[in-house]
Amino acid sequence: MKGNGTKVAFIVAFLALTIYYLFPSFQYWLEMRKIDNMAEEQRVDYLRDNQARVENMRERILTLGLDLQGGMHVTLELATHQLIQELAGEYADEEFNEILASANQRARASNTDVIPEFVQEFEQRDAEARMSRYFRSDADNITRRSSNAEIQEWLQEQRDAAVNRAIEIVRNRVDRFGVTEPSIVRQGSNRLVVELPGVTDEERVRDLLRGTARLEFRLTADPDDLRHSLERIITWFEPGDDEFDLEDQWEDLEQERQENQLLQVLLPQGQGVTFGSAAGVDTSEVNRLLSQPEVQRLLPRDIVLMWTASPQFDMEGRSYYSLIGVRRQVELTGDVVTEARPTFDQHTNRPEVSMTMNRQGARVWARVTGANIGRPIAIALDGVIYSYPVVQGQITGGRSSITGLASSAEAEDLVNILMSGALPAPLDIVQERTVGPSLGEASIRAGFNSALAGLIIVVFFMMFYYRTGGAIADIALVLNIIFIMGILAAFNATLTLPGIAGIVLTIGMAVDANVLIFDRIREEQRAGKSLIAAIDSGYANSMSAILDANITTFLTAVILFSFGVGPIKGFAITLMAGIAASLFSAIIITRVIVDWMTKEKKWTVNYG
Amino acid sequence: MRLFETANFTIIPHRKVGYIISGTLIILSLVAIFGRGLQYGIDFRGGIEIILEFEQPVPVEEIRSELNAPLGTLPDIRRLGVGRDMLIRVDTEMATSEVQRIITSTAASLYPDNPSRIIQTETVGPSFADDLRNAALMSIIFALIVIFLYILIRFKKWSYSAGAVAALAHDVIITLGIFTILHGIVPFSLDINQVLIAAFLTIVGYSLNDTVVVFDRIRENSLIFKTESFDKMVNRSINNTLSRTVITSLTTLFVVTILFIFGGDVLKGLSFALILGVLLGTYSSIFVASALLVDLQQKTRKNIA
Repeated sequence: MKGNGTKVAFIVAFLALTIYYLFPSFQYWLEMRKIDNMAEEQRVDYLRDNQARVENMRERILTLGLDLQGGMHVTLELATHQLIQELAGEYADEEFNEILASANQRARASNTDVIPEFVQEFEQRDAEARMSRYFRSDADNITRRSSNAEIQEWLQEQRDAAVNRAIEIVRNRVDRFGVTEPSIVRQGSNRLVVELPGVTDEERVRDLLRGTARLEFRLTADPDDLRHSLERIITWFEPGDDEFDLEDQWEDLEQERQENQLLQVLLPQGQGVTFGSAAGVDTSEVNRLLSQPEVQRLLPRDIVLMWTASPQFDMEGRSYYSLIGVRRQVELTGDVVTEARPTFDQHTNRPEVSMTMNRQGARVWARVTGANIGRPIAIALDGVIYSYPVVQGQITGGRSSITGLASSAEAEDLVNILMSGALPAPLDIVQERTVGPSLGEASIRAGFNSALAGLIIVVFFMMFYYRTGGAIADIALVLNIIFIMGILAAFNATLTLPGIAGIVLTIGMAVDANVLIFDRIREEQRAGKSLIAAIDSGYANSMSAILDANITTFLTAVILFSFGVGPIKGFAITLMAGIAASLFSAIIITRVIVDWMTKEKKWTVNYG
Repeated sequence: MRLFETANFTIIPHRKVGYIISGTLIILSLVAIFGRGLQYGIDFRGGIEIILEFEQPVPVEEIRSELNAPLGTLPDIRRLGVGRDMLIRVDTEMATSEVQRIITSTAASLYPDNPSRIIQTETVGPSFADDLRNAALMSIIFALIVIFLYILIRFKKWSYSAGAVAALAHDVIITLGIFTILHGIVPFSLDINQVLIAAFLTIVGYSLNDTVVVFDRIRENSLIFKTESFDKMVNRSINNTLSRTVITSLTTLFVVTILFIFGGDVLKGLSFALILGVLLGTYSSIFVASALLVDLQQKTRKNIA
């Protein structure tokens, strides 16, 4: 055994480490089997008594990817152009908005970053223009004298901070939602990847992640002004020169609808603060028609139109959304809300969210409500109006509530969003994948079965072809698989479906090193060397081929890891772990066994 | 048992045959790729993809035409596996939840006695799809560059690098071509997606494995048989390593075939690519990498002489 002492020590140490890392997974598996076999009531009690222990265990086990255990995988992108808009704040003028819009369009079309596009667009229009006109920050020393390059750098820093803040806020929201082991990581300059195992309630999650929680209290439009604008806008869409009058033409509205592009999708109202209403599918068409600059000019300058959040139903059960005229100026924002909780309306028993404001907010709220008794005030969240109650009297003490919610789940999520803080800019969902748990179970079974079947075939083939040598290689192969699992558990890697495929593939490729060595030993024997000499030179001479072959494969796995996302990373990790483990077991473990057999025991090893 | 123990095939002198076969396959693949276009999966082209599982198999055509009106576009529908699972792909501006609602309600009204449910949904935005596609392309190009450099460092001659990288490009192009030709014909998904890029890089790694083993032997033999002509020595090296090449290919082929048969629908495309990759990689390490190496070496020697 001379010279092999270190190798044996290494093997024992690796085995011990592997067992150490895999033991929790094994324990957890036993625990789950025990729990599965329990009766329902017993299980509930058991889980309650052992919750901390089971959760602690779960943290250290080999985690399954979303494709195997089911859940939701969402990639969110921070809307950088809206962040720039936000940063400019009140300094933004029409020219600024135009530049930003066209920069955003260019960035979308050519799939590049908005910030450099914005700077470029800005300098293209006027090489002398200074962006410092639009941005100020005392804290970061951004003044009128800041150069464009400084501002670009500052914008990038701000975006960086915004993404980090968004991650914090999303984590807050997800934690409040109650997901076990969520994962939220940053990807690139403006994206975050959220993984929520076991979650299948997609709609709620989407709203929860995306919601900026931009809560606004706004005064509403003057009914007469709004009505006149409505008539003027309808007239603008009239094919002829006829002036449109709501009262006169109410009767032959059906006929008007045929000719008027706007009336085909919008039912005019002109009563109170309601501009009109439209079916859910038509709202985007209405938005498109009304967004034309000539139409916008027909609205009072301080008025914007916003849709209601929840639909109303007509007699035939079709859903309609209303377009409400509100003031451009925002009286109060969600920043002043210190506490929010889900409740139910005392009279209608409908879910609502009641809010408490801080002192400054309460003061403004008292002034605004006091000055507008008898008029509606709109409560808008993320650009849609939840309710526009008529003020009955001055509200002191900063109390307010959001009504018009569809369900108590919506109320809960809204509270969650309000309390975890507002996002610095909206997040867009650019990719999402939801896998049901049953698909994952089937995949695990299929993957496990193929791994087992592959292993059995390779084991028998090796024994048949290389006899004793093959049997030794088989021992190494089985240890190899255990090592791979251990490495994955140690690095806290996630086992994905492509990852299982990677392990199966490794089973086939792992014997390669041994095939190289054994073929070389056969060759050396043929050249007339004794068994021990043949083994020595067989291992030595095949080493450079083995190393070159494995290093190149390892390099491709590293590249795969750095470019791939999600499940692909899992595949790359198992491949890397497989190469490392197979090198170790094929070169060192088999050598130790062979040396022990030939040198200690003086047995003959048959290489077939 | 010993296969190819004293193998002495005349491979290198007949390398033209290999060139003709490879050349034909590459041209056919390129014609398919540029003619039909690469058949991208959802992550590379964007859109919404939903897997709907029925209790009983249902015909595709019926549900496709029924979905046309509410979705406003004709969805792309394929059957997966035994036909209980439908893969529905929609290119639309609609929200994912809306599409899900339309699909479940249409399926429920069309087949009231055959309950169905959505088991997987994937939505990919167009710009995100572009990013993923670029990253995938970059990863393959980057891998080829890194391999070129590594071989250049290890074998000191650029002809080794060129031979190896040409063989890898050969394998990837032909696999892509076969995927493009068979797409829609075979009863499993052959979409070019991220998982397939993983398969490609694995093929690259595997094929390289074979090539490097042969090259290593060439390097070793060139020190032993100094007087032998280069092409004879390459031929000898190929024969020396033939047993190993075949055995490793066989064991790997066993497992990927098993994975293809028993690994489930999701891994069908991946394991099919791996089967092709093992076959092509074994072939190309001999008929492309080694053969090109001989020609490139002879050319440089002539230039020097």
